[in-house]
Amino acid sequence: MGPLLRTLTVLIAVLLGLTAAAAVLLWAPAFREQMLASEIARSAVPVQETKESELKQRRTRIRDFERRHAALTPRRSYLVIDTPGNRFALMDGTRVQRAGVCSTGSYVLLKSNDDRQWIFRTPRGRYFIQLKKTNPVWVKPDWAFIEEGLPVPGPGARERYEPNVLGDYAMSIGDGYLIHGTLYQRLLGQPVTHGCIRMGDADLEAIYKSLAVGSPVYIY
Amino acid sequence: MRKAIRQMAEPRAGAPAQPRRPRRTGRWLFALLLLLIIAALLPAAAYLLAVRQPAQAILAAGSPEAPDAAAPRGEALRLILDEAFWKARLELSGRGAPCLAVDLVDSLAILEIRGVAVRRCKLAGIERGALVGRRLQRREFRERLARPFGILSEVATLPKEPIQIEIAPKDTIEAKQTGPRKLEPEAPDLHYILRIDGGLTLDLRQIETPAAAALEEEKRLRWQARKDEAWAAFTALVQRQLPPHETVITLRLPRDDIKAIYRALIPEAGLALRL
Repeated sequence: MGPLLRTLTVLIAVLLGLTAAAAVLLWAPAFREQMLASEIARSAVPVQETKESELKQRRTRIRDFERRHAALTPRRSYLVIDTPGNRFALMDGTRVQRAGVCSTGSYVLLKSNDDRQWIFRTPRGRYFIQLKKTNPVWVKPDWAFIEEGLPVPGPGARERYEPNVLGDYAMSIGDGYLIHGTLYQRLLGQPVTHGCIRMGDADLEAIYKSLAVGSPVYIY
Repeated sequence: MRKAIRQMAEPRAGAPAQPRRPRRTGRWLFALLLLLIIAALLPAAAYLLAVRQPAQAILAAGSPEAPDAAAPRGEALRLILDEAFWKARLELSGRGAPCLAVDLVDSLAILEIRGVAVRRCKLAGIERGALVGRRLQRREFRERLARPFGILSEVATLPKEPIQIEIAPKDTIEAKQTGPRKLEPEAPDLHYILRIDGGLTLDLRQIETPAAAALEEEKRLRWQARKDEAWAAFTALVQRQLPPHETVITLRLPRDDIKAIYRALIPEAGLALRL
Protein backbone atom coordinates (compact mmCIF):
# COMPACT_ATOMS: atom_id res chain seq x y z
CA MET A 1 0.00 0.00 0.00
CA GLY A 2 1.45 3.32 -1.05
CA PRO A 3 1.80 6.22 1.39
CA LEU A 4 -0.85 8.19 -0.51
CA LEU A 5 -3.39 5.42 -0.17
CA ARG A 6 -2.55 5.05 3.51
CA THR A 7 -3.02 8.77 4.17
CA LEU A 8 -6.28 8.68 2.25
CA THR A 9 -7.57 5.79 4.34
CA VAL A 10 -6.74 7.58 7.58
CA LEU A 11 -8.39 10.74 6.28
CA ILE A 12 -11.57 8.88 5.34
CA ALA A 13 -11.61 7.26 8.74
CA VAL A 14 -11.21 10.59 10.51
CA LEU A 15 -13.97 12.07 8.36
CA LEU A 16 -16.28 9.16 9.15
CA GLY A 17 -15.59 9.47 12.83
CA LEU A 18 -16.07 13.22 12.79
CA THR A 19 -19.39 12.82 10.99
CA ALA A 20 -20.59 10.37 13.58
CA ALA A 21 -19.37 12.62 16.38
CA ALA A 22 -21.09 15.61 14.81
CA ALA A 23 -24.27 13.58 14.52
CA VAL A 24 -24.22 13.02 18.26
CA LEU A 25 -23.08 16.49 19.23
CA LEU A 26 -24.75 18.68 16.68
CA TRP A 27 -27.57 17.15 14.73
CA ALA A 28 -29.22 14.99 17.30
CA PRO A 29 -29.81 17.17 20.37
CA ALA A 30 -32.88 15.11 21.28
CA PHE A 31 -30.82 11.94 21.07
CA ARG A 32 -28.13 13.54 23.19
CA GLU A 33 -30.75 14.54 25.74
CA GLN A 34 -32.19 11.03 25.72
CA MET A 35 -28.77 9.53 26.32
CA LEU A 36 -28.02 12.04 29.05
CA ALA A 37 -31.33 11.25 30.73
CA SER A 38 -30.71 7.51 30.65
CA GLU A 39 -27.19 8.07 31.96
CA ILE A 40 -28.54 10.07 34.89
CA ALA A 41 -31.46 7.71 35.48
CA ARG A 42 -29.02 5.11 36.79
CA SER A 43 -28.92 6.97 40.07
CA ALA A 44 -32.43 6.69 41.47
CA VAL A 45 -33.75 9.40 43.78
CA PRO A 46 -35.74 8.08 46.75
CA VAL A 47 -39.35 9.20 47.14
CA GLN A 48 -39.87 12.01 49.62
CA GLU A 49 -42.72 11.33 52.02
CA THR A 50 -45.35 14.08 52.22
CA LYS A 51 -47.79 14.41 55.11
CA GLU A 52 -51.52 14.43 54.34
CA SER A 53 -51.88 17.76 56.19
CA GLU A 54 -49.33 19.33 53.87
CA LEU A 55 -51.21 18.05 50.82
CA LYS A 56 -54.43 19.48 52.23
CA GLN A 57 -52.82 22.89 52.73
CA ARG A 58 -51.54 22.83 49.19
CA ARG A 59 -54.99 21.96 47.80
CA THR A 60 -56.48 24.91 49.70
CA ARG A 61 -53.83 27.26 48.36
CA ILE A 62 -54.42 26.09 44.77
CA ARG A 63 -58.18 26.66 45.13
CA ASP A 64 -57.44 30.16 46.43
CA PHE A 65 -55.12 30.93 43.49
CA GLU A 66 -57.72 29.65 41.03
CA ARG A 67 -60.41 31.81 42.63
CA ARG A 68 -58.19 34.90 42.56
CA HIS A 69 -57.29 34.27 38.94
CA ALA A 70 -60.92 33.74 37.90
CA ALA A 71 -61.85 37.03 39.59
CA LEU A 72 -59.67 38.87 37.07
CA THR A 73 -62.11 38.09 34.23
CA PRO A 74 -64.61 40.97 33.98
CA ARG A 75 -68.19 40.16 34.99
CA ARG A 76 -69.65 42.67 32.51
CA SER A 77 -69.27 42.65 28.73
CA TYR A 78 -65.87 43.14 27.22
CA LEU A 79 -64.31 42.95 23.79
CA VAL A 80 -61.41 40.77 22.58
CA ILE A 81 -59.62 41.65 19.34
CA ASP A 82 -57.43 39.11 17.55
CA THR A 83 -55.17 41.22 15.30
CA PRO A 84 -53.37 38.38 13.42
CA GLY A 85 -56.72 36.78 12.60
CA ASN A 86 -58.67 40.06 12.23
CA ARG A 87 -61.49 38.72 14.35
CA PHE A 88 -63.37 39.93 17.38
CA ALA A 89 -65.28 38.31 20.23
CA LEU A 90 -67.77 40.14 22.38
CA MET A 91 -67.59 38.37 25.72
CA ASP A 92 -69.75 38.14 28.77
CA GLY A 93 -67.58 36.62 31.48
CA THR A 94 -66.26 33.45 29.83
CA ARG A 95 -69.23 33.21 27.43
CA VAL A 96 -68.95 34.40 23.82
CA GLN A 97 -71.88 36.73 23.10
CA ARG A 98 -70.97 37.47 19.52
CA ALA A 99 -67.99 36.81 17.28
CA GLY A 100 -67.01 37.76 13.77
CA VAL A 101 -64.54 39.49 11.50
CA CYS A 102 -63.08 42.96 11.84
CA SER A 103 -60.13 44.82 10.33
CA THR A 104 -57.02 45.92 12.16
CA GLY A 105 -53.73 47.68 11.39
CA SER A 106 -52.07 47.06 8.02
CA TYR A 107 -48.47 47.29 9.31
CA VAL A 108 -47.72 49.77 6.53
CA LEU A 109 -44.86 52.09 7.35
CA LEU A 110 -45.65 55.37 5.59
CA LYS A 111 -42.72 57.68 4.95
CA SER A 112 -43.48 61.27 4.04
CA ASN A 113 -41.30 63.54 1.93
CA ASP A 114 -40.51 65.70 4.96
CA ASP A 115 -38.91 62.79 6.87
CA ARG A 116 -41.91 61.98 9.01
CA GLN A 117 -43.18 58.44 9.31
CA TRP A 118 -46.14 56.53 10.68
CA ILE A 119 -46.65 52.83 11.27
CA PHE A 120 -50.24 51.67 10.97
CA ARG A 121 -50.44 49.03 13.67
CA THR A 122 -53.17 48.31 16.20
CA PRO A 123 -51.83 48.55 19.73
CA ARG A 124 -51.90 45.45 21.95
CA GLY A 125 -52.84 45.08 25.57
CA ARG A 126 -55.76 46.09 27.75
CA TYR A 127 -57.64 49.28 26.91
CA PHE A 128 -60.89 50.78 28.09
CA ILE A 129 -63.76 52.43 26.24
CA GLN A 130 -63.19 56.10 26.94
CA LEU A 131 -65.83 57.72 24.76
CA LYS A 132 -68.91 56.63 22.80
CA LYS A 133 -70.30 58.58 19.86
CA THR A 134 -73.14 58.21 17.37
CA ASN A 135 -72.77 59.53 13.80
CA PRO A 136 -69.07 60.25 14.37
CA VAL A 137 -67.13 62.69 12.22
CA TRP A 138 -63.60 61.73 11.28
CA VAL A 139 -61.01 64.36 12.14
CA LYS A 140 -58.37 63.54 9.56
CA PRO A 141 -54.81 63.44 10.89
CA ASP A 142 -51.78 64.58 8.83
CA TRP A 143 -51.06 61.13 7.37
CA ALA A 144 -54.52 61.00 5.77
CA PHE A 145 -53.51 63.94 3.54
CA ILE A 146 -49.93 62.82 3.03
CA GLU A 147 -50.85 59.35 1.76
CA GLU A 148 -53.15 60.98 -0.84
CA GLY A 149 -50.48 63.43 -1.94
CA LEU A 150 -52.50 66.39 -0.62
CA PRO A 151 -51.12 69.42 1.21
CA VAL A 152 -51.59 69.16 4.97
CA PRO A 153 -54.06 71.82 6.22
CA GLY A 154 -53.66 73.62 9.52
CA PRO A 155 -55.17 72.29 12.73
CA GLY A 156 -58.94 72.84 12.87
CA ALA A 157 -59.18 73.44 9.11
CA ARG A 158 -62.52 72.50 7.51
CA GLU A 159 -60.88 69.87 5.23
CA ARG A 160 -59.93 67.85 8.26
CA TYR A 161 -63.55 67.04 9.14
CA GLU A 162 -65.14 64.22 7.17
CA PRO A 163 -68.58 62.91 8.14
CA ASN A 164 -70.21 59.60 7.12
CA VAL A 165 -67.03 57.52 6.81
CA LEU A 166 -66.82 55.97 10.29
CA GLY A 167 -70.24 54.29 10.27
CA ASP A 168 -73.06 54.97 12.72
CA TYR A 169 -71.03 54.55 15.91
CA ALA A 170 -67.52 55.06 17.20
CA MET A 171 -65.87 54.17 20.50
CA SER A 172 -62.53 55.63 21.52
CA ILE A 173 -59.99 53.47 23.35
CA GLY A 174 -57.46 56.30 23.74
CA ASP A 175 -54.34 57.51 21.92
CA GLY A 176 -56.49 58.36 18.87
CA TYR A 177 -57.57 54.76 18.28
CA LEU A 178 -61.24 54.09 17.57
CA ILE A 179 -63.56 51.15 17.11
CA HIS A 180 -65.76 52.26 14.24
CA GLY A 181 -67.67 51.23 11.11
CA THR A 182 -66.54 51.33 7.50
CA LEU A 183 -67.69 52.01 3.97
CA TYR A 184 -65.50 49.15 2.75
CA GLN A 185 -67.36 46.17 4.21
CA ARG A 186 -65.76 43.78 1.71
CA LEU A 187 -62.34 44.41 3.28
CA LEU A 188 -63.45 43.19 6.69
CA GLY A 189 -61.27 40.33 7.88
CA GLN A 190 -58.17 41.88 6.30
CA PRO A 191 -55.44 43.99 7.91
CA VAL A 192 -56.15 47.27 6.12
CA THR A 193 -56.65 49.97 8.74
CA HIS A 194 -54.41 52.74 10.02
CA GLY A 195 -54.51 51.23 13.51
CA CYS A 196 -58.21 51.61 14.33
CA ILE A 197 -60.55 48.62 14.57
CA ARG A 198 -63.16 48.52 11.83
CA MET A 199 -66.37 46.57 12.30
CA GLY A 200 -69.31 45.52 10.15
CA ASP A 201 -72.49 47.58 10.71
CA ALA A 202 -74.48 44.98 12.65
CA ASP A 203 -71.49 43.94 14.80
CA LEU A 204 -70.66 47.57 15.53
CA GLU A 205 -74.19 48.26 16.72
CA ALA A 206 -74.19 45.16 18.98
CA ILE A 207 -70.83 46.13 20.47
CA TYR A 208 -71.86 49.76 20.92
CA LYS A 209 -74.96 48.68 22.81
CA SER A 210 -73.15 46.08 24.95
CA LEU A 211 -70.11 48.08 26.00
CA ALA A 212 -70.27 51.00 28.37
CA VAL A 213 -67.68 53.69 28.97
CA GLY A 214 -65.03 51.94 31.09
CA SER A 215 -65.58 48.50 29.55
CA PRO A 216 -62.29 46.72 28.85
CA VAL A 217 -61.02 45.92 25.35
CA TYR A 218 -58.30 43.26 25.14
CA ILE A 219 -56.19 43.36 22.00
CA TYR A 220 -53.61 40.73 21.09
CA MET B 1 2.12 -30.30 -28.35
CA ARG B 2 1.43 -31.31 -24.75
CA LYS B 3 5.17 -31.50 -24.07
CA ALA B 4 5.67 -28.03 -25.48
CA ILE B 5 3.03 -26.58 -23.17
CA ARG B 6 4.55 -28.27 -20.08
CA GLN B 7 7.92 -26.85 -21.04
CA MET B 8 6.47 -23.37 -21.22
CA ALA B 9 4.77 -23.67 -17.83
CA GLU B 10 7.67 -25.07 -15.87
CA PRO B 11 10.66 -22.84 -15.23
CA ARG B 12 13.67 -23.94 -16.98
CA ALA B 13 16.29 -25.60 -14.88
CA GLY B 14 19.05 -23.15 -14.03
CA ALA B 15 16.94 -20.04 -14.81
CA PRO B 16 16.82 -17.36 -11.98
CA ALA B 17 13.62 -17.55 -9.79
CA GLN B 18 11.08 -14.71 -10.29
CA PRO B 19 10.47 -12.67 -7.02
CA ARG B 20 6.97 -13.43 -5.70
CA ARG B 21 4.63 -10.40 -5.44
CA PRO B 22 3.48 -9.87 -1.83
CA ARG B 23 -0.24 -10.46 -1.13
CA ARG B 24 -2.14 -7.14 -0.53
CA THR B 25 -5.10 -8.56 1.45
CA GLY B 26 -3.30 -8.16 4.79
CA ARG B 27 -2.61 -4.50 4.28
CA TRP B 28 -6.16 -3.78 3.19
CA LEU B 29 -7.45 -5.56 6.25
CA PHE B 30 -5.13 -3.48 8.42
CA ALA B 31 -6.35 -0.27 6.78
CA LEU B 32 -9.96 -1.30 7.28
CA LEU B 33 -9.29 -2.11 10.92
CA LEU B 34 -7.63 1.26 11.40
CA LEU B 35 -10.58 2.98 9.75
CA LEU B 36 -13.04 1.17 11.99
CA ILE B 37 -11.05 1.95 15.14
CA ILE B 38 -10.86 5.67 14.35
CA ALA B 39 -14.49 5.78 13.25
CA ALA B 40 -15.51 4.18 16.54
CA LEU B 41 -13.13 6.18 18.74
CA LEU B 42 -14.40 9.61 17.74
CA PRO B 43 -18.09 8.96 18.49
CA ALA B 44 -16.99 7.38 21.75
CA ALA B 45 -15.06 10.53 22.55
CA ALA B 46 -18.11 12.58 21.58
CA TYR B 47 -20.26 10.44 23.86
CA LEU B 48 -17.87 10.95 26.72
CA LEU B 49 -17.76 14.68 26.14
CA ALA B 50 -21.43 15.35 25.42
CA VAL B 51 -23.13 12.76 27.57
CA ARG B 52 -20.93 11.09 30.16
CA GLN B 53 -19.18 14.17 31.48
CA PRO B 54 -22.34 16.32 31.73
CA ALA B 55 -24.09 13.41 33.43
CA GLN B 56 -21.30 13.13 35.97
CA ALA B 57 -21.36 16.89 36.46
CA ILE B 58 -25.10 16.70 37.14
CA LEU B 59 -24.70 13.86 39.59
CA ALA B 60 -21.62 15.21 41.37
CA ALA B 61 -22.30 16.17 44.97
CA GLY B 62 -22.23 19.90 45.50
CA SER B 63 -22.94 20.74 41.87
CA PRO B 64 -25.86 23.15 41.31
CA GLU B 65 -27.56 20.47 39.22
CA ALA B 66 -27.07 17.65 41.71
CA PRO B 67 -30.23 15.66 42.44
CA ASP B 68 -32.03 16.10 45.74
CA ALA B 69 -31.59 13.40 48.34
CA ALA B 70 -35.31 12.65 47.99
CA ALA B 71 -38.03 14.03 45.72
CA PRO B 72 -41.83 14.07 45.90
CA ARG B 73 -43.76 11.80 43.56
CA GLY B 74 -47.36 11.17 42.58
CA GLU B 75 -50.01 13.47 43.98
CA ALA B 76 -47.57 15.43 46.12
CA LEU B 77 -45.55 16.37 43.04
CA ARG B 78 -48.72 17.09 41.04
CA LEU B 79 -49.95 19.54 43.70
CA ILE B 80 -46.57 21.29 43.90
CA LEU B 81 -46.57 21.78 40.13
CA ASP B 82 -50.19 22.97 40.07
CA GLU B 83 -49.53 25.47 42.82
CA ALA B 84 -46.43 26.75 41.03
CA PHE B 85 -48.40 27.17 37.79
CA TRP B 86 -51.20 29.19 39.40
CA LYS B 87 -48.72 31.29 41.34
CA ALA B 88 -46.82 32.14 38.14
CA ARG B 89 -50.07 32.87 36.30
CA LEU B 90 -51.21 35.24 39.02
CA GLU B 91 -47.87 37.05 38.90
CA LEU B 92 -48.18 37.33 35.12
CA SER B 93 -51.59 38.96 35.48
CA GLY B 94 -49.82 42.02 36.87
CA ARG B 95 -48.05 42.60 33.57
CA GLY B 96 -49.49 44.72 30.79
CA ALA B 97 -48.14 42.64 27.92
CA PRO B 98 -49.91 39.52 26.60
CA CYS B 99 -48.54 36.42 28.35
CA LEU B 100 -48.65 32.71 27.70
CA ALA B 101 -49.71 29.95 30.07
CA VAL B 102 -48.77 26.49 28.79
CA ASP B 103 -50.72 23.79 30.54
CA LEU B 104 -49.36 20.39 29.54
CA VAL B 105 -51.73 18.60 31.90
CA ASP B 106 -54.88 19.92 30.19
CA SER B 107 -53.13 20.22 26.78
CA LEU B 108 -53.77 23.95 26.50
CA ALA B 109 -51.79 27.05 25.58
CA ILE B 110 -53.62 30.09 26.92
CA LEU B 111 -52.86 33.61 25.81
CA GLU B 112 -53.69 36.02 28.61
CA ILE B 113 -53.84 39.75 29.10
CA ARG B 114 -53.99 40.90 32.72
CA GLY B 115 -55.14 37.44 33.76
CA VAL B 116 -57.97 37.30 31.21
CA ALA B 117 -57.77 34.38 28.80
CA VAL B 118 -58.10 35.95 25.36
CA ARG B 119 -57.30 32.82 23.38
CA ARG B 120 -57.32 29.17 24.34
CA CYS B 121 -55.33 26.94 22.00
CA LYS B 122 -55.82 23.19 22.20
CA LEU B 123 -52.52 21.33 21.94
CA ALA B 124 -52.82 18.50 19.45
CA GLY B 125 -49.52 16.97 20.50
CA ILE B 126 -46.92 17.33 23.23
CA GLU B 127 -43.40 15.89 23.27
CA ARG B 128 -41.50 16.47 26.48
CA GLY B 129 -37.74 16.39 26.53
CA ALA B 130 -36.23 13.35 28.21
CA LEU B 131 -34.78 15.47 31.02
CA VAL B 132 -38.07 17.06 32.13
CA GLY B 133 -38.85 14.27 34.59
CA ARG B 134 -35.38 14.43 36.06
CA ARG B 135 -35.44 18.19 36.42
CA LEU B 136 -38.72 17.99 38.30
CA GLN B 137 -36.89 16.06 41.00
CA ARG B 138 -34.90 19.14 41.78
CA ARG B 139 -36.31 21.55 44.33
CA GLU B 140 -34.75 24.58 42.57
CA PHE B 141 -36.51 23.73 39.33
CA ARG B 142 -39.85 23.15 41.03
CA GLU B 143 -39.48 26.49 42.78
CA ARG B 144 -38.48 28.10 39.49
CA LEU B 145 -41.82 27.01 38.00
CA ALA B 146 -43.62 29.21 40.52
CA ARG B 147 -42.16 32.32 38.88
CA PRO B 148 -42.90 33.49 35.33
CA PHE B 149 -40.33 32.55 32.69
CA GLY B 150 -38.85 35.27 30.51
CA ILE B 151 -38.19 35.10 26.79
CA LEU B 152 -34.49 34.80 25.89
CA SER B 153 -34.74 34.51 22.12
CA GLU B 154 -37.07 33.35 19.40
CA VAL B 155 -36.80 32.21 15.81
CA ALA B 156 -39.66 31.82 13.36
CA THR B 157 -40.30 31.30 9.68
CA LEU B 158 -42.30 34.57 9.48
CA PRO B 159 -41.28 38.09 10.53
CA LYS B 160 -42.54 39.28 13.92
CA GLU B 161 -44.33 42.21 12.32
CA PRO B 162 -45.27 42.08 8.61
CA ILE B 163 -44.17 45.65 7.95
CA GLN B 164 -44.48 47.01 4.41
CA ILE B 165 -42.73 50.28 3.63
CA GLU B 166 -44.61 52.85 1.56
CA ILE B 167 -43.23 56.17 0.34
CA ALA B 168 -45.87 58.90 0.30
CA PRO B 169 -46.74 60.30 -3.15
CA LYS B 170 -45.47 63.78 -3.95
CA ASP B 171 -48.84 65.00 -5.24
CA THR B 172 -52.34 63.86 -6.17
CA ILE B 173 -51.25 62.92 -9.71
CA GLU B 174 -48.67 60.47 -8.36
CA ALA B 175 -51.21 59.22 -5.81
CA LYS B 176 -53.71 58.48 -8.61
CA GLN B 177 -51.04 56.71 -10.64
CA THR B 178 -50.10 54.52 -7.70
CA GLY B 179 -53.74 53.55 -7.13
CA PRO B 180 -55.15 51.89 -4.02
CA ARG B 181 -52.82 50.15 -1.60
CA LYS B 182 -52.10 46.53 -2.49
CA LEU B 183 -51.30 44.38 0.51
CA GLU B 184 -49.12 41.35 0.00
CA PRO B 185 -50.83 38.27 1.43
CA GLU B 186 -48.74 36.64 4.11
CA ALA B 187 -47.63 33.01 3.93
CA PRO B 188 -49.91 31.00 6.21
CA ASP B 189 -47.34 28.49 7.50
CA LEU B 190 -45.36 29.11 10.65
CA HIS B 191 -42.79 27.27 12.74
CA TYR B 192 -41.82 29.02 15.95
CA ILE B 193 -39.04 28.18 18.42
CA LEU B 194 -39.08 30.04 21.68
CA ARG B 195 -36.15 29.91 24.11
CA ILE B 196 -37.04 30.82 27.64
CA ASP B 197 -34.95 31.02 30.78
CA GLY B 198 -34.56 28.05 33.08
CA GLY B 199 -32.93 26.04 30.28
CA LEU B 200 -36.19 25.39 28.43
CA THR B 201 -37.09 25.63 24.77
CA LEU B 202 -40.62 25.54 23.38
CA ASP B 203 -40.84 24.28 19.82
CA LEU B 204 -44.23 25.19 18.35
CA ARG B 205 -45.07 23.21 15.23
CA GLN B 206 -48.19 23.47 13.12
CA ILE B 207 -50.40 20.43 12.64
CA GLU B 208 -51.18 21.37 9.02
CA THR B 209 -48.82 20.16 6.30
CA PRO B 210 -46.79 23.20 5.23
CA ALA B 211 -46.44 24.31 1.62
CA ALA B 212 -43.22 23.48 -0.26
CA ALA B 213 -41.82 26.99 0.18
CA ALA B 214 -42.59 26.90 3.88
CA LEU B 215 -40.83 23.56 4.18
CA GLU B 216 -37.71 25.13 2.73
CA GLU B 217 -37.98 27.98 5.22
CA GLU B 218 -38.52 25.48 8.02
CA LYS B 219 -35.41 23.59 6.97
CA ARG B 220 -33.47 26.83 7.13
CA LEU B 221 -34.89 27.56 10.56
CA ARG B 222 -34.04 24.12 11.90
CA TRP B 223 -30.55 24.40 10.46
CA GLN B 224 -30.15 27.77 12.16
CA ALA B 225 -31.55 26.51 15.47
CA ARG B 226 -29.34 23.43 15.43
CA LYS B 227 -26.31 25.45 14.51
CA ASP B 228 -26.96 27.82 17.42
CA GLU B 229 -27.61 24.95 19.77
CA ALA B 230 -24.54 23.04 18.60
CA TRP B 231 -22.38 26.09 19.07
CA ALA B 232 -23.80 26.73 22.53
CA ALA B 233 -23.26 23.07 23.44
CA PHE B 234 -19.73 23.11 22.08
CA THR B 235 -18.81 26.33 23.93
CA ALA B 236 -20.26 25.00 27.16
CA LEU B 237 -18.45 21.69 26.82
CA VAL B 238 -15.15 23.40 26.15
CA GLN B 239 -15.68 25.38 29.36
CA ARG B 240 -16.53 22.11 31.11
CA GLN B 241 -20.08 23.22 31.77
CA LEU B 242 -23.43 21.63 31.04
CA PRO B 243 -24.75 22.34 27.55
CA PRO B 244 -27.63 24.85 27.84
CA HIS B 245 -31.23 24.31 26.70
CA GLU B 246 -31.17 20.60 27.25
CA THR B 247 -34.93 20.48 27.73
CA VAL B 248 -37.06 20.91 24.64
CA ILE B 249 -40.85 20.74 24.79
CA THR B 250 -42.46 20.32 21.38
CA LEU B 251 -46.05 21.52 21.04
CA ARG B 252 -48.22 20.79 18.02
CA LEU B 253 -51.13 23.10 17.36
CA PRO B 254 -53.00 24.83 14.50
CA ARG B 255 -50.94 27.43 12.65
CA ASP B 256 -53.44 30.23 13.38
CA ASP B 257 -52.88 29.61 17.07
CA ILE B 258 -49.09 29.63 16.63
CA LYS B 259 -49.34 32.89 14.70
CA ALA B 260 -51.50 34.47 17.39
CA ILE B 261 -49.02 33.43 20.09
CA TYR B 262 -45.99 34.48 18.06
CA ARG B 263 -47.36 37.89 17.20
CA ALA B 264 -48.67 38.53 20.70
CA LEU B 265 -45.52 37.72 22.66
CA ILE B 266 -43.16 40.65 23.00
CA PRO B 267 -39.79 40.55 24.83
CA GLU B 268 -41.46 41.78 28.06
CA ALA B 269 -43.97 38.94 27.92
CA GLY B 270 -43.78 36.08 30.39
CA LEU B 271 -44.71 32.42 30.47
CA ALA B 272 -46.16 30.09 33.05
CA LEU B 273 -45.69 26.33 32.70
CA ARG B 274 -47.68 23.46 34.11
CA LEU B 275 -45.56 20.38 33.55
